[in-house]
Amino acid sequence: MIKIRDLNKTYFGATPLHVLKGICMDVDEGEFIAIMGASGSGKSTLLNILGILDSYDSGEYWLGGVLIRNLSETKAAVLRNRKIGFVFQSFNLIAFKNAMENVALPLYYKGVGRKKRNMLAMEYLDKMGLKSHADHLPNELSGGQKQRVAIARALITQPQMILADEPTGALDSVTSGEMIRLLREINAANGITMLLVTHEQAVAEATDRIIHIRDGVIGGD
Amino acid sequence: MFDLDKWKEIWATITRNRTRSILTAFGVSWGLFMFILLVGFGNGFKKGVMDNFSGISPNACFFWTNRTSVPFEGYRKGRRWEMNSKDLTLVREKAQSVKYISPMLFSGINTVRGNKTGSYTMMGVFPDQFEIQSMYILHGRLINDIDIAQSRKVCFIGREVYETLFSMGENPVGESIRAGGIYYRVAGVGAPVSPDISIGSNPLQTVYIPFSTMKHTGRWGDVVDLLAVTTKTTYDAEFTELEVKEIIKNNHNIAPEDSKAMGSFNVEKEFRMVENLFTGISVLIWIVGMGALFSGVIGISNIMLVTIRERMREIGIRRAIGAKPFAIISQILSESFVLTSIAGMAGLLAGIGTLTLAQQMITTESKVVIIPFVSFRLALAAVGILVFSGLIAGLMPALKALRIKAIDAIRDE
Repeated sequence: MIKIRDLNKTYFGATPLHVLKGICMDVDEGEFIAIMGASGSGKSTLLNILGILDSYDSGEYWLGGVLIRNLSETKAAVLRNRKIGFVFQSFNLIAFKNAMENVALPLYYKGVGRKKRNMLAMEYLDKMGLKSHADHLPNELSGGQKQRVAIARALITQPQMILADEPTGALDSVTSGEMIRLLREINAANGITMLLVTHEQAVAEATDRIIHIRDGVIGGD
Repeated sequence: MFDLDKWKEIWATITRNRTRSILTAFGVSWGLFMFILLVGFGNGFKKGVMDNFSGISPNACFFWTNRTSVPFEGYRKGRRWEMNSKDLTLVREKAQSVKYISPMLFSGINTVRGNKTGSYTMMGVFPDQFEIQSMYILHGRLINDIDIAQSRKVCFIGREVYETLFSMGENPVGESIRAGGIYYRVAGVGAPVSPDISIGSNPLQTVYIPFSTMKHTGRWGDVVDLLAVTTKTTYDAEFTELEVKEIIKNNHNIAPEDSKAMGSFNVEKEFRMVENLFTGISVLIWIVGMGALFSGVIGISNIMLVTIRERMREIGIRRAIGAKPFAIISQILSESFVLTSIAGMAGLLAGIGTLTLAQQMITTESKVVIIPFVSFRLALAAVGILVFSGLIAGLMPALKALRIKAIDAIRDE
């Protein structure tokens, strides 16, 4: 599913910063993985590259048999849209759109018609137990509810994998637990690969496999 | 294909922040409003002035005599001279560019009918006179060729003359009036199309009689006080002016280089000057109007830029979940386009509405001839400019939005 070979990434600022120093990593379909690391370890950069949000300097990144390298913005957008679902720490819902519209947005960029889009969005909200909140704006929802809307949005294009950047970072421990259980259920039910970036030990331990990153290299698996 | 979703999306973002949208749009509205108003009043002013000229042939030239300023063929300088009927014959024979020709004689006279009297100007003219200065005929007819040929004692009188000598509603045609001691039968009554233009005398206060009749009454001799001609459309009035002068000067032994001996006035030249003036005014109006519109557009562009900054996260999210660069550009451009168009339309309609109101107020409450208006074509052009400027206004913000990287926007600080 994911094959990474000798991945290097340097940020060229005032002083060049070699963030990823030859990462090698394999992820199989349907795995439920946590990526852990201290801040500055390069885990966010890795996640951005995995999510085709950022480029890398050398090495190889294969996603579902496709080599991801030097893609045009348009191609990257299509791949993101079709293959990857994102869940963020701060939810990143669009503030002036209600829950249903937020969930339906990826389908808009996929070119799905409005009716079908909204129907699917309702379906996914229902799965998240938020059908009754479909017309609520993000600021009318609790943190847990917002994250569930975000998960519904990530799932709606039926991606091959979900990348979650500190998905529980803004949630209390009870809600965090619920969230992990939910992700676990989705993983079990649909076989979607899950990659969670976290620094919470409890969250990481709930996954099947933990990848540690230390100073730009994989420190332990 | 018309994409309803896309426009719903755009409408949602515009209406999300209503105050800001309205404030931004106001700049463009105001710009277009001012533009329409300026052009409208410019048009009205121009038409008002040009209408003043409408009753006079735009390519007419007028000639009169002065003392000579150069000695020639034995004649000393400072000699007085007069044009005469031989000049008319010569001009008609030789001047190839002349279309209508009208000599004029003037005399102040006392007109009498019964116990009603008035002091007016008598003018001896050719029928061509009324080709040069158009008349509305209120009664009867103009002076015609048979009047000239037979030196008939008939007259065509201005409206004020009629109002003085006749009572309201009285039919003057065929009635006699006495002018300068001679009885003339009234052939018709008229008023000039352009009341503000006088050739020698105010047409409303003039008694026109056949040129030959006036000549034959004997007191003036073979003299032409003022000569008017018009130019054939294929010639320049300036050419006619020179041609006629040359013929007449030659006939009177006046040095060809004597520029003072013969005075002339060329309507076309004056006309062109006024037209140039208005061209200048229009250019100014366009510059000012476009400037106002442009500053409105810059306002929109500016606000959009600020908005893009505020919306970095939103745009980042959109890109992360699969919006292609084109989708982002198209969205920003469309937003500024919709905003500009709506604002512009509002300004356009407000401007046209104000002009319409002004038209009504001006026509009903005063006699000022300045009636502002804009042509349909101009309105169309304004819309075209709007569409264009809307896209221009969106261009910079769109490019800026494109530079936003998803990771920068959604990074959790």
